[in-house]
Amino acid sequence: MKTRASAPLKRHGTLSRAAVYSAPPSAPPAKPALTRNPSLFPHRTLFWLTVFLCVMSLVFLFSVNIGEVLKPNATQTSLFHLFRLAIMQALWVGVGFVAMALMAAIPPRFWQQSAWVWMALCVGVLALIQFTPLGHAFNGAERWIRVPVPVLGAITIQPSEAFKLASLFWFCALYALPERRRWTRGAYLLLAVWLFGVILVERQPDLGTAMLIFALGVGVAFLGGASLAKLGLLLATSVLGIAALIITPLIKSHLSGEPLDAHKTSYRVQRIMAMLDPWSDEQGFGYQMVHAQLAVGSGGLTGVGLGMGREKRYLPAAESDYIFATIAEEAGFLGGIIAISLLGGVVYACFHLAMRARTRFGRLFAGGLALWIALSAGINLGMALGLLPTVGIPLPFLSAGGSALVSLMAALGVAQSIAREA
Amino acid sequence: MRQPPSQISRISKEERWRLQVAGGLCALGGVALAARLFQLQIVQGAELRELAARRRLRRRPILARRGAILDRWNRPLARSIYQYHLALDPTSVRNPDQFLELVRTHLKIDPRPLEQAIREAQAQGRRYLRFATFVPPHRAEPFLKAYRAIPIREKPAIINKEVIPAREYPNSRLAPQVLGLVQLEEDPDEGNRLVPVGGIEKSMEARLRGVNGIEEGEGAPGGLIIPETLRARTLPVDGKPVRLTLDAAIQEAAEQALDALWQKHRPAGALALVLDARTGEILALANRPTFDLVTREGLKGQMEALRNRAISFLYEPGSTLKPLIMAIALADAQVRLTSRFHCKGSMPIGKRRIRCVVHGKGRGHGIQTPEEALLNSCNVAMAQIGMRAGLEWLYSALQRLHLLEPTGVELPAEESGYTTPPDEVRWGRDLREANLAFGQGVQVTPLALAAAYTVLANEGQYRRPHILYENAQREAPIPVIEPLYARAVVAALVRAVEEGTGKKARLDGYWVAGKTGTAQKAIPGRGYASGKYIASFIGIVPADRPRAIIMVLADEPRNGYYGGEVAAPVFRQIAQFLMWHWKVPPNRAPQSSRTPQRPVYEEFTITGGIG
Ligand SMILES: [Zn+2]
Repeated sequence: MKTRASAPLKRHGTLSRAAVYSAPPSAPPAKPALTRNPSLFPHRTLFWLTVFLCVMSLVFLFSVNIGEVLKPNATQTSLFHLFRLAIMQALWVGVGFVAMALMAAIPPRFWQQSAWVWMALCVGVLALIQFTPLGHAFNGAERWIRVPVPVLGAITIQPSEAFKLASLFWFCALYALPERRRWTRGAYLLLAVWLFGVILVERQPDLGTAMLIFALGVGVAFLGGASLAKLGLLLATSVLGIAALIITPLIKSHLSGEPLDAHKTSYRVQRIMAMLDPWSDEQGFGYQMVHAQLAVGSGGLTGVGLGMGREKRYLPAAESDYIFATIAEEAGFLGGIIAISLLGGVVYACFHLAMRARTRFGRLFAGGLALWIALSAGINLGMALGLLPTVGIPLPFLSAGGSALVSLMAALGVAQSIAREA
Repeated sequence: MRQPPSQISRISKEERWRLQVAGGLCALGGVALAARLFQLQIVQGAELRELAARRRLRRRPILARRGAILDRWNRPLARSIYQYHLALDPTSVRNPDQFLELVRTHLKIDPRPLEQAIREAQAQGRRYLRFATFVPPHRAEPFLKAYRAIPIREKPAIINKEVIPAREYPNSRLAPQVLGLVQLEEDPDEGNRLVPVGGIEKSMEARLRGVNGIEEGEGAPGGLIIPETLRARTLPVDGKPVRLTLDAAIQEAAEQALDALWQKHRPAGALALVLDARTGEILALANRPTFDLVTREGLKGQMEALRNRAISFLYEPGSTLKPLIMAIALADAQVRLTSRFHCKGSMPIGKRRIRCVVHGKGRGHGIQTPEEALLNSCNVAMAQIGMRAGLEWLYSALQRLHLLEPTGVELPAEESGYTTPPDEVRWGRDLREANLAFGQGVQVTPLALAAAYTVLANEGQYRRPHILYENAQREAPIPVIEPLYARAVVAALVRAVEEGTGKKARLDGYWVAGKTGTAQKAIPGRGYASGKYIASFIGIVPADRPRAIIMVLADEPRNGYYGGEVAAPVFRQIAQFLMWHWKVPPNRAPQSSRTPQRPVYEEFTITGGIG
C-alpha cells in the first residue's frame, strides 16, 4: 500500500501536537479519503476463513452432540433438546455474523475514541457480578450471566469475553497515541481500572482468561513500541509472581508435613504435575489429559470417521475446551492440520492486515487480534496435545460457546473495517 | 464530537519488526503444535489407539439373584433384593443447590455434610464420590427417575449407580442362627456378591449362589456397554431357592417363648428346638443370645449370637438320657418291667459314691420299678442297670441311639457326641458304667438328643433329623427297639410330668410325656463346676399320639436352675401353641384340680403281659 501524499511523513513519535490534532489545511478531510473499498467485508480471505472455521465448528459439535445423545442417561425426547448444543451454536454463528457485519460498518475511529468507555463498562459489569446480588439474581454467580430465554432455555453470557475485546480496543487506542501524550494521569487511572478487571476475572476464578487478557495487553504494548527492557522486567516479575502463587502450597506442605491436598490452591501444582506425567494420576488430575491424548492418538492419519469418535464420551468439556481432541480423533492428522492451518491462516491474515493498515490504531488492532487468536489457539491446542497444563481457554471459532464466538467475530468485523481503510 | 486526530501514518520500521517478531513467534508455535500432532498421531498413533481401545474395554458383571430361603409352606424367610450405591463425579457438579435438593427430598440425606464432602473432593480433583450407600429400592428408584427426567445439558451433576445385592427378611429376628448371615463382597470385575457367614446360607451356598454373568465391550460412562461393541456376553444363572422344614409360625412361637426364659433367668445361652415326632423334621430352632439380621443389633463384638447351639453345644445330658437308656435296656432284656431296684439315696462305687436327689424323704427312693426309676429320676437304679449291663452294652446303646455321631443335618459345623470308647477305659469302669447310665461322662448335642427321642415317640424307630425339606421326605425310618418298649417309656414319662419333676409342663386337654434335666456343668478334665447348671426339658406332645418333640435348654440360668422350673414353662408355651396351630383335638377331660389322679392315665401304665 502506498501512503497518501498528503499524510504527514514525519517519524512516528515526533509528530507535533498540531500535526496530530489537526489535519494540514491543504489536505482534504481524512474520513472519506480513508474508505477505499466500499464492500462490507473487504478482506475476502479473512471472511472466507471465518466461514470455513464456523462450518467446521458446527460439523464437529454436531458429532460431539451425537456422542452425548448416545450416553445411557440421555432420556431427552424432543429433537431440539437432543441437539441443543449444535442448534445453539448454529444460532450463535448467525449472531456472530450479524455482529461482524455491524462492526464492519462502523469506522474504527469510533472504537479508538470510545475504547476507554467500553473497557470501564466491562470492568463495571464484572464488578457488579462479583460484588452485588445482581449476579446471583441472574443465577450467574461465577463466570456467567444466565438469561432465561423462552424456547431456547437458559442462555449464559460470559462478560469476560467482551472484556477481552474491550481491553484490546483500549490498549490499541492507548498505544496509537504518540508516546508523549500516552501516559497521562487519566491513562494511569484507566490502567488501574483494567488491572482491577483482570483481577476480577482471576477471582471468578478463571486464571486462564485473566492471564490471556494480561498477555494481550502486554502483546499490544510490545507491538506499540514499549521499551523492551521494561516489558522484559514486567514479564519476569509476573512469571515469578505466578510461579510463587503456584508453588506456595508445595513449600507449605513440605514445611508443615501436611499432605499437599490440604491446601486450597494445591490443584494448580497438581495440574502442572499432571501435565508432566498425566499417566501417573490417570483417575485424578491427569484424567482429561490422558483421554485427550488417547483421542488424538486414536485418530491416526485419516481419523476414525466423522461421528465415530469414542473418546469424546470420556472427555469432560469435549464440546468446549477439548473440541480439538474430537477433531483429531475423527478427522485424523489431516483434519487436525487443516484446523491448525485455518487458524494459522486467520492469524496470518491479521498480521498481514496489520502490515498494510494505514492507521496506527488499525495496525495495532490487527496485530493484537492476531495475538489474541494465536495465543488462545496455542494454549488450547497445547493443552489438548499435552504440552500445557489444563486451563479453561476455548479454541477460537471451534469450541462451543456463544460469548467467545460473538466477541471474536465482532473483533473480526472491526478488522474488516480496518481493511476497508487500507 | 471532537475533531478526530489525523490517523493516517506509514508503518514505521520499529512497528514492522515488532510485528514480524510476533508473527514469527506465532509461526514457531504453530509448527511446534503441528509437530506434536504428528508425534501423537503418526509416530505414537498405533500405540495410543491400542491403549485407548484396551482402556475402553469394560467387563460389566450382570448380577445373578441369590436364591430365597423358604419355610416348609414356601413362605420366604430370606429373599434377595437389589440396593444401590450412588456416586457422583464431583468435577461435574454444575448446580449444587439443585442436586442437594434432589438428594434431600428423595434420599433423605442431610445436604450440609454432603456439600462439604463434594467441595473437598473437588479441591482434591477426585472424580468419584459415593454419596449414598445401601440405598433401598423404594428410595433409590424415585431418585433415579427424577434425575433421569432432567434434560441432559441441565443435569446438576453426573451420577453413577452401582447395584448391590442384598438380603431382605420378612422377619429379621426369625431363626438368624439357622439362616446365617451374608456379607457383601464388592468385586467390580466379577460382580458384587454376598458371601455367607453361617447357617443355611453357608451350607447351601452352592445352590443359593447362582453365577454372575459378564458383558464385555466398550463401556460408555455410566457403566453400560455400547451395544455395537459387545464382544462377549454370558447370562447370569440365578440361585435356586432352598425350602426348609421350618414352619415360620412355630419358629415365631418358639422365639417368643424363649424370650420369656431369656428375660427371667438371664442364662449364658438358651435353646428351643421343635422336631416333628414322626419324621424328624426340624420345625423350629431358636437360639439365645440372638441378633437382628437386618440391623445386626446384638451381633456387635460377640460371635456367640451367631452360634447355633443345637449343633455346636456339647453338654452332658444328665437325666434326659435316662429314658433312652431305659428303653434300650428294656428292649435288650437287660431290665424287665417287673424288675425292682433298691435305692438308699446313695451307693458306693470303689472309693466314690453316687447319689440320688431325693426330695423330702431323706432316705432314698426305696424300692423302685423301672417306671418309678424314671418318674423319680433315680440315679441309683440307673447305676445298677448300667453296672449290670456293662460298658460295652452302654456304648453300643448310645451308638444305636445315634448319639455318638453327627446327625448329618444340613447345617454347617455340626459337633459330634462323644464318650470314651470302652476299650480305652483303663480304670474306674464301674464308675463309668454307673455314670453313663444316668447321663454323665458323655457329651451330646441338643439336636442329637432330641432326635434320639424319636425312638420313643415313633414306635421304636429312629428318624434322622433334617432341616432341608426334600431330604426329610426321602429319609426312611431306622428301627431301633420294639414299639412296645417305646410305649412303656413314654407312659413312664407321662407320669414324670403328672407327678414328678415336670409338672410345669402339663397342658390342658393333652397328655405330655417329658423329662427334666438339671445337670451340673462339666468342665472337661476337671470334674464339675459348682453352681453352674444346665437346665433342660425334653417332651413329647401329645403323648398318646406323638406329633412333636420339643426340647428347651438353658445354659447357666439364674433365678433357679431346675429343668422343671426353668425349661418346662417354655416347653408348655410352645406345646400349647402347637396344639392350637395344628388343631389337635383334645383327648383328655379338663382336670378339676391340678393333683394327678392315677386312674386318668391308667392307659399309660404298663400292665401284665409285657416282660
Ligand atoms: Zn434313687
